[in-house]
Amino acid sequence: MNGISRLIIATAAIVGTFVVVLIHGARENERMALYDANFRGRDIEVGADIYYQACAECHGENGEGLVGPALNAADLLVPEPGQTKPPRLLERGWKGDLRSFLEATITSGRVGTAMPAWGQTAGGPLRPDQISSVASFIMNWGLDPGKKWGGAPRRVAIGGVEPAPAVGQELLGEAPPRDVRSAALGRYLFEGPAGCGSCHAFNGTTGTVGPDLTNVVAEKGRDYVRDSIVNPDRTASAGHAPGAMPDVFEFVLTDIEIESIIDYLETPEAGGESLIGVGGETPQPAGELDGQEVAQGAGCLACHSVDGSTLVGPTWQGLFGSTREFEDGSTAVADETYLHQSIVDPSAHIVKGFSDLMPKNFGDMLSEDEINAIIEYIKTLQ
Amino acid sequence: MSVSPDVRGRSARDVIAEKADQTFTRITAGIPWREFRRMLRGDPPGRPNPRLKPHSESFWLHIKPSYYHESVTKFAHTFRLGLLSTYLFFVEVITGLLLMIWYAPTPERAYSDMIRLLSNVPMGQLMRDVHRLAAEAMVVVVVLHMFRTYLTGSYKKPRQFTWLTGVVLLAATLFLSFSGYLLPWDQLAFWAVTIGTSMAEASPTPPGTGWLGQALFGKPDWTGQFVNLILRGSPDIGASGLLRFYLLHVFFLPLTVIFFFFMHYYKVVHFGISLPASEEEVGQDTANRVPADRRRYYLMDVAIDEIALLSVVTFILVAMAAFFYDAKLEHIANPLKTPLHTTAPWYFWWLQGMLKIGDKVLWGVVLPTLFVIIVTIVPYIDYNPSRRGKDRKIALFLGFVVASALIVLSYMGLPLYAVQSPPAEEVVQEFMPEEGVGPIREIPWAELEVGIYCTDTFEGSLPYSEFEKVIFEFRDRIESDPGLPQGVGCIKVEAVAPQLKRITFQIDYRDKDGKPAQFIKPFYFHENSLYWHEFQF
Repeated sequence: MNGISRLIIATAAIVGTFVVVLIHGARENERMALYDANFRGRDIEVGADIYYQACAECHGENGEGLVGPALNAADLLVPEPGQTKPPRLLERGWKGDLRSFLEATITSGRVGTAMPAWGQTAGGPLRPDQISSVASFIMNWGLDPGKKWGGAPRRVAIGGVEPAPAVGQELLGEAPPRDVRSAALGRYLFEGPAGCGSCHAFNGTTGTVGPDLTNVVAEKGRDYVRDSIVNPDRTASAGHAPGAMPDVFEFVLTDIEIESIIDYLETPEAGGESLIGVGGETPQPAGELDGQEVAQGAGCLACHSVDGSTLVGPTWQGLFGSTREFEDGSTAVADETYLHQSIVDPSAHIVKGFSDLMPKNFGDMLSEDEINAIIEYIKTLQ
Repeated sequence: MSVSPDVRGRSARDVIAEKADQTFTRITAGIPWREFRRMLRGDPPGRPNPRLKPHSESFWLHIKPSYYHESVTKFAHTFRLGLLSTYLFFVEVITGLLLMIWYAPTPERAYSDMIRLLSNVPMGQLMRDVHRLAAEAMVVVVVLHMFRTYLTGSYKKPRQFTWLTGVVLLAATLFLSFSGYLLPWDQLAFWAVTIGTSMAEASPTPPGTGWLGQALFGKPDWTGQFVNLILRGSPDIGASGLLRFYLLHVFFLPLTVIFFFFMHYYKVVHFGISLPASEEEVGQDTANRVPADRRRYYLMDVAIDEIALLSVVTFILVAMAAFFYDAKLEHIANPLKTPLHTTAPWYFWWLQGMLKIGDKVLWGVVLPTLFVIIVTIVPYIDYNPSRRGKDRKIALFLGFVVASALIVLSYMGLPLYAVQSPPAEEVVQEFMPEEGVGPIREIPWAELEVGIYCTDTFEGSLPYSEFEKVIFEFRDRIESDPGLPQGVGCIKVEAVAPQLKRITFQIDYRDKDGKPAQFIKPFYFHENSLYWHEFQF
């Protein structure tokens, strides 16, 4: 090739390079906006992962608030008309914006509540970028504050009569059809593929890992049982650790199958005397509250264990009648008066080794009967 | 009004033309306009050759030879790989300097700076892509350059030292690329470098120095820890490690490359590029004795070759970076979460492969060190004076054996060889990898309808949507996996927050003992997260 044709190639290549850069440059604004949204989206994904592992237990799967306050709420996320900041920030006189409010709260926790410090700078487990991602996730609710998301999705299958391969145990005789609701199917699943019977006792069977389910429907109602199957952790019974029951049944069982299991659990106790409540709910005996349920509902058990382990607060096991040592060096015997005071005015005595983290509003939240029920329940935990 | 004596009595036109030509000659360092035009046209130079002047007048041309032997300028003789690697280094310096403007080497800022570069700096992504692509290309070109030199026997006397400086340049290139890996501070960066530096941990302790280790680290086996500490600045990679790698990347290693480049290139010019072996007698070196009729002058003949080649390479580089290649940015570095299938950069796979063979010290340190030493001193131990292929059968054979061994070892360094996670985890990783796209994320977000999809009962409906096709793939993948007997997979899709879905994978199967086993893994998938699969030109 002579000099001229090589020069033409070189010129073409250089011009081509500029053309490429121009074409690329012409769409830079669009691309940058897209990447911006992309990284925000990924940030929210990361935040979601952390939220559902660390925060959902107290603030709820939907941020609806359980032990901790609601986060999926307009008063936290959206300023009222004419305001620059959401009401909850104004209430606290927060000078910064919503993100800094959330990040500061997550990092340092909130004194006087069960909210611990999560930031590594404050002795917690999370890095600043992780906290920022959690804040992004929470702020994402602001697009539609207060909306209830999720709910157990349905199994998408056509002709779902094919039984799933029995993974739990060997088949017990003929398998009943799985698309027709029946107590027989419930029993088959309970003792077979779903594997309930290997942990739970029912009508004289011997499972000991989970609670005895004899009469459970009669005593607590179908909704409670369904919720226990779908969300085992939320309803872990006294003496049984949350997390022990696999959180998969909503996933592996169809609605028909879950209802069938409840039908089966509804069958009366073998040789039992009482037939009350079969097919319906047992009326709550008037004037008698189940302290365990009250404690569960008030969120006590999120911080107080009933099996002797130390969570955020002291365990309830063996609490009643024991001698308590306090941070200020004094002691007292845990009698009914002490327990009552500890619930209504938690700051009065701080047990040695613990901090003043317990919410101060149980006196307002709980009725006198409910507080007494809790105390009665604590008495049983020896 | 006085007039300068040299223009007195001449027409304005002549004077301007003369001044213009003088200026032109100054710019071209000694070539007047008419000669320049003849040069471009390819006309032969006059005698004495007026085109040699720039080689003595200008800095950049004085380091270039003024003419080459016709035979060495043929493209297939050297493939211009040396020129290419120099040019790619130049590209790296330019793009690297630009990238430095938006980057701070601290763990708090590095990753967010990358995001800002990609989503807020016009042309930021292009710059980063070119930088990354040219870096990978430079490694390839430098390795090929070395292989070519080996094949043509060009390392032989008198060019032994040129080869030696070349080995240093190759090593510097690899470490330049490797040190650049860490800077984005994402998972890829963090773990590739963690693995890379942990190879140094295998360094054997010199016998008799256990007391030193005892004093420094509280255990006698100290060398590995020491080397690691030097590299990382702390037991694990953190702020100090990032700063060290940054300084290596932008300062020490480029300086090393520049320093050794000039030694290397001085030797290349001094001895001339070796002729094709067939053109000279065995044992002779006539590269610098070029007969007048076989000379090709650098100006403008060879220079145009080079300009044309580099223009085309630039075009390919920029076009590929703009349209086909994206330097990925994974999630931010998380020291607590090792991603599946972590690998060192590809040019260190061979080392990772060797580590898998056996003893860490023997295969990870002793043998690679021996290999590097042998490669370095090849010109001094290869006493065969001939550069002709038929006289170098053993050397060429060994060269190809080593090259194939490196390729095989690199293959063994891949995660698919020997290191496998449990089968269920592998399947989920294939369909929804922790980093990158995968089939599920390629499905349009809206098509991922809420529900539970299990491989044992799902039938779908014609025409199949993208999602349904993926579920069938998922089913076939599980059913054909010998590690997942009686495997049933479910994909649960939930809407958990605005624009956010949770996708939970569950695989039930029987383990080796026939007991039921289960693998569950949730992912969160936001409507806007692209993972680089949608924004294509």
